[in-house]
Amino acid sequence: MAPSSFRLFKLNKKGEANDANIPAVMLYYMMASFIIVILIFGFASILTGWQNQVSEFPDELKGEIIALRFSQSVDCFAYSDPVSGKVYPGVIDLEKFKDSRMDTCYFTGVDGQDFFQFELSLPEYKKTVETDNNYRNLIDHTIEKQILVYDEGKFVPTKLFIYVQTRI
Amino acid sequence: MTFRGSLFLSKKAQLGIVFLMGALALLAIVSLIFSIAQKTGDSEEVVKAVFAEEVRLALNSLISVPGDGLIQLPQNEDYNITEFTVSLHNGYVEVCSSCEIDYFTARKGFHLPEDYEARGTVKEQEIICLVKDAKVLRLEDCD
Repeated sequence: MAPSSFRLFKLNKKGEANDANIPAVMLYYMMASFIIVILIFGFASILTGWQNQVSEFPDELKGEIIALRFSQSVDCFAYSDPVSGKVYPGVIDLEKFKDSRMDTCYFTGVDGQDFFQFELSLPEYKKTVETDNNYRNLIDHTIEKQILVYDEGKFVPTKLFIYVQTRI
Repeated sequence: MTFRGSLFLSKKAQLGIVFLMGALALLAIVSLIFSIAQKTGDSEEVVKAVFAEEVRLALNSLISVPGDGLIQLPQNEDYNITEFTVSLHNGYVEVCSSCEIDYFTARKGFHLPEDYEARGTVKEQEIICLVKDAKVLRLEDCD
């Protein structure tokens, strides 16, 4: 004979749950309903996560596009002829290559931990500039560019390294 | 389960009703799950998020252009933005359909160089134009 505690869950001979088993049946349905609701919510959250993943762009692409301005824009480090005003994209003016110039080019401020941060390096000139104090040297990837540097009237080919920090 | 006072059904029919109710409940749950999955697959939230990112990328590209420039969006003709309102602000771009409800708005932030300005709102257009005019970035109809 089954232990008394199991009698509540035992079916009768015809396999039917009778009045004595109603608490057990109700408990079963309550547990089943609870688990099904949890599964549905879990499924919905998986789909939401998938949705966010599908709509995300690669960090390398985003970093590359933002970093274009450093060597292309006269408001950043690009050289411009002082007489004609012509801008030379891809040519970095060494006189502009300073942290103070970076602050006018790309400044993220108080919410900077959610945005990309950069360190630019010209190894041949032993010069680096960083974005604001949200740059913590947590490098996710590096962009290497072949550029010209305008230095004392000369255009010198060199490499620019852009270290990208995507988040703190 | 025995239903006392059930005058019309035998015990076998009662068992059948339990099975029928269980099958109907299962059908309802499966329908709900399919409905959620289908809604997510057709979801305009993904389109809004992708398009907001596209506008942000285009804006960052225009900043690097010396002088003036223009970019038409969307670049991909496969998705439809005619139901959206796109607005550009200093520091972020918003794409929304039910714009009164913030939850359904896709928002992407960006940082402009000093003295730059970004502005403009376009509603329910098939193609929009992002224009750079000196240090001003404007979102406008392409007409």
